[in-house]
Amino acid sequence: MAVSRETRLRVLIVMALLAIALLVLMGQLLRWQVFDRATPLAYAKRGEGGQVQETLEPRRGLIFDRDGILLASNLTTYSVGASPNAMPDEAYRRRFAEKIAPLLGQDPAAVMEKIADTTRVYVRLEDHVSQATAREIADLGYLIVTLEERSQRIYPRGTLAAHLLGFVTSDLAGYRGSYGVEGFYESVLRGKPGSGVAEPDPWGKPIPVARAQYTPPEDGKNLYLSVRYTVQHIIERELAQALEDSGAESGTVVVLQPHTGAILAMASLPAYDPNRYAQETYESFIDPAISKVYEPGSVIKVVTVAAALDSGVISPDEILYDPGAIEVGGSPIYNPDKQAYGQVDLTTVLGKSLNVEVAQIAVRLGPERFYHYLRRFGFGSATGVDLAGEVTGGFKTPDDPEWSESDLGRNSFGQAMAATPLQVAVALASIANGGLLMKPYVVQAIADNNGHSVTTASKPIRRTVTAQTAHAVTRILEKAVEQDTSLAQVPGYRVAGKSGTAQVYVAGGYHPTATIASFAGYLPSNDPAVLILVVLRRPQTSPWGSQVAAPVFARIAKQLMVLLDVPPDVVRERVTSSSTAVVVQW
Amino acid sequence: MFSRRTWRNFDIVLLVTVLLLLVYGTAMVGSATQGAEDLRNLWQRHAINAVSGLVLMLLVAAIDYRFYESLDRLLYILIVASLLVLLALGEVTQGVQRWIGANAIQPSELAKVVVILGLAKLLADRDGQMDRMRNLLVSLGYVLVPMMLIYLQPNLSTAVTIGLIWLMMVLMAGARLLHLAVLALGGIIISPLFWLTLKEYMRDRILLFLNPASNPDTYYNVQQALISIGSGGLLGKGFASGTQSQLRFLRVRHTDYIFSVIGEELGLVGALVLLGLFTLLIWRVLRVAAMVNDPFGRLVCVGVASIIFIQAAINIGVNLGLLPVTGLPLPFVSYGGSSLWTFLIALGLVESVAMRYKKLDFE
Repeated sequence: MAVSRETRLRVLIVMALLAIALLVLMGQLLRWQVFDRATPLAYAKRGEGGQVQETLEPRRGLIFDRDGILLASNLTTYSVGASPNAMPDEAYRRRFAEKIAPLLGQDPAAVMEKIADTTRVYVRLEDHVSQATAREIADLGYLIVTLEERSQRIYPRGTLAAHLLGFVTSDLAGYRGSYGVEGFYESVLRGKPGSGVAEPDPWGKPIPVARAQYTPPEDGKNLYLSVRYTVQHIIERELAQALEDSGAESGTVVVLQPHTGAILAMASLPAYDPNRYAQETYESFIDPAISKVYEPGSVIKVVTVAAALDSGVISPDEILYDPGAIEVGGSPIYNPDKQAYGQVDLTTVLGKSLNVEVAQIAVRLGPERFYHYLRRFGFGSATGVDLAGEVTGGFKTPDDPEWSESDLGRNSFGQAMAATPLQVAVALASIANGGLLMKPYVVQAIADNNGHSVTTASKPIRRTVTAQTAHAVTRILEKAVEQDTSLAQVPGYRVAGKSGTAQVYVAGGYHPTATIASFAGYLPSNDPAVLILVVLRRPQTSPWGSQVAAPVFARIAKQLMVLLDVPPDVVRERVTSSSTAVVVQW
Repeated sequence: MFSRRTWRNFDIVLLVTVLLLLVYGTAMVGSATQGAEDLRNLWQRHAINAVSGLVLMLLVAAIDYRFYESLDRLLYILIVASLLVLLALGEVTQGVQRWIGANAIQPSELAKVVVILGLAKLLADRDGQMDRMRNLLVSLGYVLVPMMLIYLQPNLSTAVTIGLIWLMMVLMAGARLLHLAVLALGGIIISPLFWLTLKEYMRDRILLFLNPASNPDTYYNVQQALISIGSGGLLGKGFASGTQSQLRFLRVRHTDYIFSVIGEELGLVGALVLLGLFTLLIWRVLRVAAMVNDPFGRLVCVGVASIIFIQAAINIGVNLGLLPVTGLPLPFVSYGGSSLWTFLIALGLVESVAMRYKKLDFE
């Protein structure tokens, strides 16, 4: 039985159908590959001529301490994304989720949820993935995974100098330094972005090797602070200890170089971790050293006495009479211990912190001269420190309608006025350095990437008092510490200083018991290397600055003398008074 | 069964053609996946699948195809049952569930072979009577059951493929063109109802094909395929040097879009060589069909030729922007174990027929 003609015919029909289909395919193939290549190739050129504009982010400048210890740096992290629309099936998705979840520190179910919508071209799986983890993810080799490089600001020392440094926020608009050095030097640290025009990859991102135009970014400049890491570390440790010992709720320490205005260290506790600023409260970012005011209290007596001496109202050796109470502008003023001291010299006035005497001096000085000096010492205006968010504080003057003479009395010992800790430190530093109000600064040098650096020159703002006055006040403060503030004394070094105890102003008046206890001092007093201000807010063990703040001052001062290599007074005096041979000896 | 005389009629040309296609496929899978760590060893797995598939093919060929003829009912029940089970599982896990086990076997792939065997038997039993509408409707009913089950998975493209296999086979079996035209008309009338049952993504794909601008995201793959093919030109960019595939512009390039990789890297020449190999293969299968006197054997061959051609044509048609996007792999070339084995088993059937057809004239 031969194959029928009918069958052969039908095989032919089928073959013909197939041949037609084949011809159509070949025709289309010829069309796209030979005759009309332009059409498919035009798809590739869609958009801006097949090119994308990219912004090349500059590297943000680093922040170092005075000795080159890194305080703020950049870390490259990665954003991990995936394309659910390119995942073939459920089983693949599940395997993918199980593989990638442990690397992201997530639950596979959570990953599954993120990639559940299979119409999406891109979903973000995780941000801030470390370079090492990103490498591991890349090694998995998934085509559907994208790793986007991002720069993240990190602070290797954690909370150390947090208020001073500030932090960098990142959002859709980009990176922006906030608070402290990061905020103040934003434009210097940021650098200038570059730009490039390049061919896009499948995800529309530029292919680096296919750049048509390229303007490199200009990296941000590095900052070298006047702050010394070790000093900062010491004051933060001592401050933490002091808060624990005294039960104070917060505290601030400022360490200045009186001759230059350089801030060697400045800390406030409690501090926040700038690495995790997003988890912190807005309130915690505000630097109490420059952005919050307090009533400085008796520390201001130094200014009142200096003003009186400088204007010749009193002389250094003058003996005053303390009646124990006085009325200024109708308000009674008493000494802190409510005692009357009778005949006293200026050392006793400052040593025992006699409000009555200081108020009398202010009255003799008169409001015009008193407020003139208060302003000369920098109160009521910004110090100009290179940190973001400084406030000015202030006080009422005779020009204000609400001012009364009683304000003069209270102002003379630092009440009814507002100042920042840094303002107080800078004012006292002008006594320490012989009468110059220095502009405080934290950035010592700005270095670009070509090895050029600009060093900050120390800048005197104005003279507060004559050198003689300043030295006279220093001698008085030296003696006052020696006689009355034993807790502030540092073995081997003469200390000049003044404690302060201010009442806390709450809504409606002063808090009955809460105080802000402080001590400001400098040493060695005849050629001060450092001025240290310690402020403790609401201490529990004792309300007095001389009791709770002075010992903190002493502990810090003792360590700094060793750290900064300051010879004890006896050694220095031998050097300055006698032969050079001694100098060679050491 | 293993006698020399039987193997003398084994179609070596067909085997060589398939070997060439497998080597071609393995090389292109290797090229397409070399840039991705998780896929880098895929060509080896493809090669292993190919070798094991070839062994399967020889085993299938070694057994007289009339034995398979006797199994038609059993296989049909088995495959319908497994499709039902799969559908039930699919209901539980939601979404597409085409695979059984750890993505090893897709019943819908095997269903194609089973339908070919069963339909061949059904048509062979009615040899010479297929000009009756009643018989045509019986055969249509026979394929509609697995088609519906596969369609419900949902897997429209495989269902359509089975429908086309049926069309080719009844055409060969002697169905009247008038009857087919009437059925086609009926199909057109009920097609709006059918549209309503389509899954969202299926409609999207069809609408997208009709109006590509409607969704640039989904059109991406088609566009990239065309860019690949177009940029390949006459001679291509060279093996493993296609920027479209190596830079990952092409997404599923080792499976659905392997033809685009060939078009880009080996150009028109490479694509024509591939088409040539497919033509050669189908011709060899149809040659067997033309020589065989036994209606069952002949129809099996026609079915196998149809399935190879239909899938190749659909896959290449998608790559060339001629057809709506489907997930059908390119036979023998695309990566994918189930598909590869299915096609090699199908060729085993053809070889089995080729080895044993009755040459009454000489015996």
